[in-house]
Amino acid sequence: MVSKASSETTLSEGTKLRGRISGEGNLHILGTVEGNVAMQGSVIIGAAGSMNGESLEAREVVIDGQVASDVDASQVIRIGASASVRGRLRGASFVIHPGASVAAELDSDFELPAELHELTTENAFSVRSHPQPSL
Amino acid sequence: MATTVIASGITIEGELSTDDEVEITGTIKGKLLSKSAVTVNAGAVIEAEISATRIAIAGQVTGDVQAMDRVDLQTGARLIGDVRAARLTIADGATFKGNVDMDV
Repeated sequence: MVSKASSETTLSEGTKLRGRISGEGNLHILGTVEGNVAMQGSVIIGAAGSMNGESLEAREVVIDGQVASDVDASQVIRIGASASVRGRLRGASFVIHPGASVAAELDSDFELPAELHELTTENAFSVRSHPQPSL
Repeated sequence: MATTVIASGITIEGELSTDDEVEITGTIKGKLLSKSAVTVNAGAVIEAEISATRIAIAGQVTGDVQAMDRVDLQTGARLIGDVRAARLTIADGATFKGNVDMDV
């Protein structure tokens, strides 16, 4: 039992968690989580995995399964082709693969040129940008 | 076979139920139910009721422990709670406070 430095946590396919999971390292959700997740590393939700709750916080979030929760990533949120996502997503960047089912509000702090900013606020996508004042 | 692994540095508050094996080096507060084996490694802190087929403990458990098959308290284990199992071993260097019901 030398798994002292292990930073990989896995909830297997036959596993259901009701409650809160938090801490260091990466979390692989192959089963079902009903509750909240707050990880300092990455959270990876496999194709058979699901997460249903109020908040999912991590450095990076990779979704191939089902998520119904607000998601807050300090880095990228990757949504795979087999994913189904509902909620408010906040991340530094997003990757959404074709085939994914996404009903979400995307919220990201990034800088857009003024003319693009006008475009995005006019069109139907609910992508919001927060342009920084130029120095 | 699939295994659920709770690494050190991880805290779960709530109920974890599974068909699979569980290996814990982190912290669980609440309830842990497995239809397979549960291994509580050294360094793990469990404040939960545990129910499984086999339970091996080398870490710290506060809560009642119930196994269909057996409970093994290994060296360094610390269990405060009742044990209900057909077989129980307590290794030299394990500490245990609670009642034992061997289901006779």
